[in-house]
Amino acid sequence: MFKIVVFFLLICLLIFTFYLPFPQSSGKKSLKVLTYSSFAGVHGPGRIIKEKFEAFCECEVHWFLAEDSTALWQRFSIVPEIDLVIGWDQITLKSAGSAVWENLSELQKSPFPNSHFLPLNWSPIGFLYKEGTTPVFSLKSLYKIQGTISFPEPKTSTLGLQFYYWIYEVFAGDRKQVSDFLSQLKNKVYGPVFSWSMAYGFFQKGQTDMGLSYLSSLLYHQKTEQNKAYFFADFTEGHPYQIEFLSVSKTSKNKQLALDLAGFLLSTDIQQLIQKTHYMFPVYQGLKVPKLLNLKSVQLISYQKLDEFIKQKNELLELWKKNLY
Amino acid sequence: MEKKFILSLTLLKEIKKNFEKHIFSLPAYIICALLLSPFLFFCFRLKSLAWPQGQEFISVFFITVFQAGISTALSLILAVLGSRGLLSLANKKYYFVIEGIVLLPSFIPPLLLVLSLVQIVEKIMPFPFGLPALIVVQILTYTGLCSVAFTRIFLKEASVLSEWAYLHGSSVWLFLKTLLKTVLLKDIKTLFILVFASSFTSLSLPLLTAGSSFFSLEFFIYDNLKNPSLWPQALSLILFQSGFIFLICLWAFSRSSPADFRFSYKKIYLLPQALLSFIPLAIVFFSVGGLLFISDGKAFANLLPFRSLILSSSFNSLILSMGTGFLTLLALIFMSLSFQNVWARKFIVSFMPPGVSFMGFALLVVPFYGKIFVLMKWVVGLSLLLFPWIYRFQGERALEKLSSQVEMARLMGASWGLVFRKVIWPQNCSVFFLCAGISSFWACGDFAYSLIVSSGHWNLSLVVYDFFSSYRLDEAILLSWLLLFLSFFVFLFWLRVSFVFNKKFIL
Repeated sequence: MFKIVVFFLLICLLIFTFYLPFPQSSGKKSLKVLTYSSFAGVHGPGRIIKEKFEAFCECEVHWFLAEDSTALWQRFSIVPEIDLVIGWDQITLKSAGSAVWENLSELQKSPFPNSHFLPLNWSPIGFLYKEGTTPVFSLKSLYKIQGTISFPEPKTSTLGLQFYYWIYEVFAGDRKQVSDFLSQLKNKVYGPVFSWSMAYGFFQKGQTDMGLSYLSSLLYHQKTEQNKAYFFADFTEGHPYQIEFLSVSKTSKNKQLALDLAGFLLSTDIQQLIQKTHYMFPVYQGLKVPKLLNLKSVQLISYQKLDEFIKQKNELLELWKKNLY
Repeated sequence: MEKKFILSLTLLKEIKKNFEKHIFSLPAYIICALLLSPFLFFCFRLKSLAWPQGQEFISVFFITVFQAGISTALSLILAVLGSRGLLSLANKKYYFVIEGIVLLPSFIPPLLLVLSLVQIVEKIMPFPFGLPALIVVQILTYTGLCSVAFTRIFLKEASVLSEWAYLHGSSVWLFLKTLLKTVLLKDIKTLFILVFASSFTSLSLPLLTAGSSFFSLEFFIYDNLKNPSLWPQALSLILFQSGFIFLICLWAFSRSSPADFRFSYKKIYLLPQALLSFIPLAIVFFSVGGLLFISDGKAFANLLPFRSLILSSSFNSLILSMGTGFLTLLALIFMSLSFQNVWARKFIVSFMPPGVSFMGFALLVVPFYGKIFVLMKWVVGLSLLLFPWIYRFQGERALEKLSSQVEMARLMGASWGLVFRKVIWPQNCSVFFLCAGISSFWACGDFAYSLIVSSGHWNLSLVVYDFFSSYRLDEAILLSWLLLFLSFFVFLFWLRVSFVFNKKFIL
């Protein structure tokens, strides 16, 4: 027994000595940034941003991670000391309201103006397909595809919710038409799948013929993976787009630092970094975007019906469930 | 005068006895308080409860009971058949390897299990997402574990009875009936409750196989937790869910226990069915086999630039896993020290830990985010999540077995400290180390809880999750094999310690 206790004490000592070289508190200010996991992940730009910003801010950046951007508001409600939030999109920022956020009008430079939420990156959304498959090029005829398609669900993914808004917009908010379309699509859907990564994984592995993702996903396939077999299906009805926003908390104790980081994220270097590692397009016109194969400019849909869509969200989700599964 | 002296001496003895009783009850109370802390945290923070409106909750509750009940029943039926197959291999030298392989589906991260199953099923037919898939995946997850448990029960508890039955020329039917009535009923009940509670409260399996369809109460709670205005409702549901499982466990475990047997390892003549061992092995094939052929050659080369991150995150996983095992061991020792506190033991057997998000939120607000603090949050949270399961599965059984010995020792005047040192520890330490191993294995594969409190620090399962969610599926699968090996390594470490102690006290 004594030997075992000594053994465990030695192990504890060893662990402690391993972690000692990492100072826990250096007296620097601590900036708490909430984002979703892939932004601050191994491949995301977060780690480099932290490194570069800490080099001149004399502060420590602490990431708080949510599994996806649908959980950002929830996490912010749990830890209200958070200074800055990265990862809202046009739909999730509606749930966040504007009362608790700092006015960022002065920092706005993008073509997507918003007083409390600062655009960080963006990309059109649509279906990707691989060489050798037969895609369709219209949302209304999506159910005519010969194989199957995969997309994340609107209840658990912002991309899925964007897809649902796309359908809603194309059918002019007519519930009967939306309902009919979903019923027709039923047999072509691979799922239900709760996240983008899983839905896109099925597409990558060949389980489905078309997978919902971002136009900017081609940056990964063509530039990083050097795989030219992926294509974006340009739909005749136009495409939804996701803009990623950041916001600074009004109650932040490190407001100036948070504003500095917000400004830093909009610098040319970091915008290029986001494009290279996060595979999203920079929000500023004039920044160089790599040329992608077989791609013409895509038409974007209007978001005028978004408020109406959000108001009916619960009923529409019910309609989705009823007709699709 | 003399009378007064004797009286005060008796009083002193009584005080000392009571003091000892309370002191030795304290460890169990500490564990109970820790287990309840996430609930208390939310109760204090919200200060209100609300019941869900509409019929949705009722339908979700009944469908959860249905899917958990069906999955459990089918898992147990397959496990009984599978265990008969495993019994025929039990006296082989390599049996422990087979046991390890059969247990694999219960320990690997659910994401990998679903991916593997999809890969295999897709070769034959479209994958049946929804309720059928959920039931199938739950069966795959629990059948191996139950098969091994049944085999061990047969080996330990039925061997003597089978010898007697054989010698007396009893029929197989009579033997099985007697065995079921006298020995196995309680174990089957324990396993049923364990698998049912596990299926009932699972979040990841319903999410992976049925998306946002409300086939699980846990997902309904998770959905409510996403909206801060619905937190009072979520808290009510969590309390309801925990209360429901608590009552079932209380009912199931408060029945009288069967007579104890003296165990010996003998070959069981009546049950060899080598062919049936294919059931658990086929389940392993569906659970992990698909992962063998979806990684391409380039994946390994793509991982090379990340080797320092993989190394440091593996080290963190190792520490997190060992730490969780160590805390589990400590908690089991605490429970042994409080052997006489039957109330606390019953409470933990029936206690339903909260979901990962709930636990994560409770620890997320602890305002320390440095590496060592994150590691501590990982270890403490995972230990609190896993300990009630481990205790229910093995711990209580191990303690209960010693009731009569402890009673005898106490009658002979042994203190609780002495009872622990001379009776409980020597006989149970090997089981406790095994429990620590199981806890370590489970902890190593967790990414859902780890992510919530990670504050940007990495362990291997988070790296796997990150690769998976950033287009790099093949690399994620390759890394998940490393995660599996790491989990096995930690498990084997605890197994080895268990073996050493077992040997020491047997000799």
